[in-house]
Amino acid sequence: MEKMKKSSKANQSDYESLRELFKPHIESFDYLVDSGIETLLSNIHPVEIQDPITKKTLKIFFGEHELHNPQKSRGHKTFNSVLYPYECRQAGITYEGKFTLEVCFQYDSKWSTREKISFGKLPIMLKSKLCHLRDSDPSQLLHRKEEATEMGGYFIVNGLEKLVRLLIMQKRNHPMSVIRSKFRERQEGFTDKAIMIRCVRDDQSSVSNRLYYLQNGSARFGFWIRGKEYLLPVGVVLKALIDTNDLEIYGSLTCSYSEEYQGRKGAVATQLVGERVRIILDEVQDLSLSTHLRCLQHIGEYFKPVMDGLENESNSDVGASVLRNYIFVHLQKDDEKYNLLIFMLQKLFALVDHTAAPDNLDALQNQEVLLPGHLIAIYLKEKLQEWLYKTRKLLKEELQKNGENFESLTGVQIKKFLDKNPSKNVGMAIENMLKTGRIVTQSGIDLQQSGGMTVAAERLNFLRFISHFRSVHRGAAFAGQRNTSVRKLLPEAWGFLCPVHTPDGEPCGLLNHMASTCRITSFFDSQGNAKDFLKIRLSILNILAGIGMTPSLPKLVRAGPPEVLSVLLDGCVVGSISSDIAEKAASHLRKLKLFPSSGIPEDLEVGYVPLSFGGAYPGLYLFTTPSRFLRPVRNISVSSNGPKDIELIGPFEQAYMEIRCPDGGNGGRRDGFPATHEEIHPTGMLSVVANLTPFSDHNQSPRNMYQCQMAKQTMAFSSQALRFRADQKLYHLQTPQTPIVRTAAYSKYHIDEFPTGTNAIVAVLAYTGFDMEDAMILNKSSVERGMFHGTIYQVETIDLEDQKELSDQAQSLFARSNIEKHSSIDADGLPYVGQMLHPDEPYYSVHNIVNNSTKTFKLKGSEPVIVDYVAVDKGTKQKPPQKASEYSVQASEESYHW
Amino acid sequence: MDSQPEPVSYICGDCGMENTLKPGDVIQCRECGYRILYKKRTRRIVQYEAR
Amino acid sequence: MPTVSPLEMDDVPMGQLPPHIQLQRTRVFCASDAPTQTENIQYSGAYASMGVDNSFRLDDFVKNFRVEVVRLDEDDIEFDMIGIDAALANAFRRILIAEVPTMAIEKVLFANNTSVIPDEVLAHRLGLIPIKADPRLFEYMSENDTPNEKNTIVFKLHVQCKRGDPRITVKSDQLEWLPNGSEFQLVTDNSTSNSNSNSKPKTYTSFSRSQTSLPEFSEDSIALKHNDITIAKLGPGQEIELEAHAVKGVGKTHAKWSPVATAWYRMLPEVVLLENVEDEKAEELVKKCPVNVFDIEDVGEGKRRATVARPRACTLCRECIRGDDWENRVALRRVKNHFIFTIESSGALPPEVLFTEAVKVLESKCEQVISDLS
Repeated sequence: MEKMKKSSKANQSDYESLRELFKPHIESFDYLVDSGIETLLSNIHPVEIQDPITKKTLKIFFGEHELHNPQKSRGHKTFNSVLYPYECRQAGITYEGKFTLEVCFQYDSKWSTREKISFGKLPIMLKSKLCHLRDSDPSQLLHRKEEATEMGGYFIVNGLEKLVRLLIMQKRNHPMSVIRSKFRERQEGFTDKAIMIRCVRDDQSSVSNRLYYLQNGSARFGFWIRGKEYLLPVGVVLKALIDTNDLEIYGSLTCSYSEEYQGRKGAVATQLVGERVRIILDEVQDLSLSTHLRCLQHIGEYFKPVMDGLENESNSDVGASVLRNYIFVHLQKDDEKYNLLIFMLQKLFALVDHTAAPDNLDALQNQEVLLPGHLIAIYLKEKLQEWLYKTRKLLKEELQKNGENFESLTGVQIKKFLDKNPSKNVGMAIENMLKTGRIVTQSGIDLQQSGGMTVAAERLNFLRFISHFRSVHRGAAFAGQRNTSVRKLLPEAWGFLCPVHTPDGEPCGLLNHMASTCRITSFFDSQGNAKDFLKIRLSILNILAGIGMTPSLPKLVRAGPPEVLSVLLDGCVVGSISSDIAEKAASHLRKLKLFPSSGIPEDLEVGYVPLSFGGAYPGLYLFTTPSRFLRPVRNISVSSNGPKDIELIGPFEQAYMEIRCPDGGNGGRRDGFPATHEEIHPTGMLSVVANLTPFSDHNQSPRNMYQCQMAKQTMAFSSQALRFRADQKLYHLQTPQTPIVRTAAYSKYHIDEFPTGTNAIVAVLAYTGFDMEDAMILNKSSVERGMFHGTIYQVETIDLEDQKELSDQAQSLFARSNIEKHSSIDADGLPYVGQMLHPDEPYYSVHNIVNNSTKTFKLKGSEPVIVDYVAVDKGTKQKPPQKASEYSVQASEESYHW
Repeated sequence: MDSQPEPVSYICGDCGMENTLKPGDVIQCRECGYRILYKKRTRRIVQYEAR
Repeated sequence: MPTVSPLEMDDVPMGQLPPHIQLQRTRVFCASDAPTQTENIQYSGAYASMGVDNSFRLDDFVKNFRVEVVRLDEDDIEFDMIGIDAALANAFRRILIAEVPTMAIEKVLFANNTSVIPDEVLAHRLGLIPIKADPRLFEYMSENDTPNEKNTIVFKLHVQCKRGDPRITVKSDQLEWLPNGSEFQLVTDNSTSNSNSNSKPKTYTSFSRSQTSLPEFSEDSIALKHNDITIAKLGPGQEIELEAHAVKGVGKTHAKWSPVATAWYRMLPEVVLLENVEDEKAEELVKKCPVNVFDIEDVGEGKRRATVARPRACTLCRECIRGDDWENRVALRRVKNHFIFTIESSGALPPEVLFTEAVKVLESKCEQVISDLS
């Protein structure tokens, strides 16, 4: 108790617990700024153009990049040209920074020129590394006309606050077995069984690969090129990946089958495997593709038409490029790809033979989340690549038309030429994506939906606002489906997604909210330092080798479950470990997670799937990747108290862990499986909003759900910086109170800064025909003394640019007419501040200089308003003055009595 | 715009300086060049019912 | 209760009620589940069969009605009103809350307000400030009246927080009484006012003389009841300049004119021990009661017995009749015609005066009914 008090006092100044809730958004954008753009630039394919006459080639690619923090566009006469978020909100502009790229032109791989070209502006996330508010403390934030609690995590686009919706994605780099009847319709001879893997490059773009099982016992490897799925016999892919022979393939696929283990626990392979491998190899033979090179050439020949810019390459080079860019893109080496494909085939055969169960793609165990920074990275890469392709196309046309050669295309010429393909459109595309939430792309960029990527961060009240940032959407594709199984609350989500906080009705179960303690892994460790994934993976490999893992390189171990388990690190088969010591190895890794000096990251996910009879495919699956869910639990196998024993676990490993709840008894746990971990607090499984309901364990469960909805709808304090906001509509409660009965979460998240209601004594009188929500009686005196009074702030923005008549370019300005004077219009043509206006009363007038006419404008709406402030601004537009209105709340059906 | 319009006072959103503007003037603080100006409250008596 | 054949029952004595019916007539029974006998029997012939006349008689009322003051200080009074019907007691309560007039700020004229608190909210706050002025000395101001010294009190508030100064809190003592009426000049069309420029400028009120010169206010000047009510907070550079005009009104129109914080009554509790409650049971009973109604007395020979020491303190929480058969040992009742009445004055008038004012209001209402009927 004492400790809690202290910490809450310390947090009072910096609102750390609130900041924590917004971290997933901000850290992902920080990644983009830090290294994301650099990585994606290096992953963009350069384009080459050959001069038809001189046969010289021109190669265009991107070099260094610069992303600036937001500055005012025309900074002349201004001492500081820094653009602050509040100015964007008021002026209705975008909070964005200049984005320039070096475009390199290389002639005949000899000499090259570099041109710095502006690619427009990129919207900057508030509180990210490029935001001016990044390191501001609460008092500095107040000076910048923000909330003292400002947590950032959103963008300001045209004055509106927008955030990127967190979307559920299939867990990256992890092969999953799936049974879907749809697979049968793909082609003749297909079954409903397949292995799916979503491979993610280090620039966050992804390519999905599938391995279908055929009725004849063979398998097809499926991958997408520009939105279309292509299928290859798996044997061809295997042979194309590495130089191997049939015997070796046969050996590595059948090695997991051994007669002595048949019927034993964890035996996943059956004797049918050998038969199937023979069919796979025969298929290759039938195509008369015996060697590695022949397979590559076969693929190259087949895919040349769809591969862009490789028309002049040899077939084998095209083949290699297909393997590199579309197959297991998360892996660099072909050996690794080969090993993973072998593993997937083994897993597929186990699924077919019912020795391993299918994975549930609807369970959180097999899911991760799409973060704002990553989405922008993917989209930016796509747009830059498109720009390069378009440039090439235009250049080619130019060359054909004019018959010029490259030498003449230098300096100014290039710039002139590039005007035809405006580079600024790239920045615009990103801004448009944030504005509309729509993604415009030809390749589909491996996303399930193209719309609804962003939502407005409404400030109806504070709880509504936070919930936007904590919400996780299952994906728009599921919203229209009749099938309700995706909406189910599955036990895998325990501790990560709140079981209470989901809307009722249409998005129920699709729009979930993260539990209050749930985090998302990022490119930064808890100290905020960027992680070095290469180093992390190396030290994990070293430790694994020390424990007793046999590395899979140079050659895969010839054994399988139940004797040995495969070890996968981020979707790469790194080796195998004897199943006897696998459990020990897992718990050893867990212990090392607690010590930062061990080189094992604290957010490593140790998914040890033990041997079972027909359960999930066994193995030791390790994940270090970003955008995984994460939550803290106490590791009770470590005998240290305090923060040292807090371990961060993910949803994949959680399913195989023994975690007890401190107030829940043993929970039916059998002696054979003692608890190794413990929940920190029983309310950690609830979201922030659900955590605010007192005595929620005494309610019927849907009541808690409804309360979460109602808390987010109530008229409350939406903002403390009301004067500096220009939202269309804001609600403000006049007489808020702190609740008499409240939970610890209330003070932890500083809800008192934005109180949401008034304490009231409620008497319920049973009366026929009415229930308590149909009618109410309010005490007249209380209401007249201020109870439930509220204010609605509305902002009217008048842009004189819009006022212009179609034909004339006449300048118009605010001015009062001398002929007809209105008592409600001041000398400047705008209303008086503090004045009350009634509907249909004129409140501003515009003077047209050219025809010397003045037009007055009347107040719309049905309620009288009071002018709270009038601001004029000449930034990018003319003058938007603003107006706020006020009126008190009325309850549903009230009657007065005293 | 025959008779000269009375100037109206504005307060700079950045430095707090008072600026008087006439219709047609450039909207910019004379002190710091800031471009968002807030109109000063009217001195006209505004009457409210205390309810 | 054992059933007794009606034939074996005693004759009902004519002219008086049997004890249990008498009890039902005069008491509310508070059982653990619900109160019973809550109604007042009004019908004059309700007990005619027993030869009892139940009609209301003025001389009986005059003879039996008593008022006993229990507690009286500056703002609060608690008194017992005995021998009166609940309907009448409630009439007094409602009149106190809604129909006894006071003075309260009704109009606020803002010359300037740059504080964070919006005009209309500040006006509302000002309206709720209690004013220590005897409303009987003022007249109501109807819609067509001009504000004058007989119907309006004017207060002025002009506070400013200078740039560089720390934030200040504006308290009610900074409201200044203007006995000469409003100082804000009425804006009229320039053409007409220019002609007689030497005449007194027209303001928002038309006082013919200063209120200080009126004999009523010579000794007891007009002020606010409390000087430490927070009105607003001002940051550096912010200013409030306003005039507040108070008029006479009643709580019916708006709660700000209500002369009481609240006025309420409760029926006198009656706690009866139906049997001797002794020793452990007695101690248990004492413990049960959260407001300490019961005491223990020694009855000699080491025996101890519970007594009802402070029945007035009983809040009807019914803790004492909870469980086992405590309901058979303790009876909780209320006396139907005995009201413990409390008035909390908000400051315009002393609480005892408020009650007499309420009686006057009721009196005039009755006269109104009589005159309307005749």
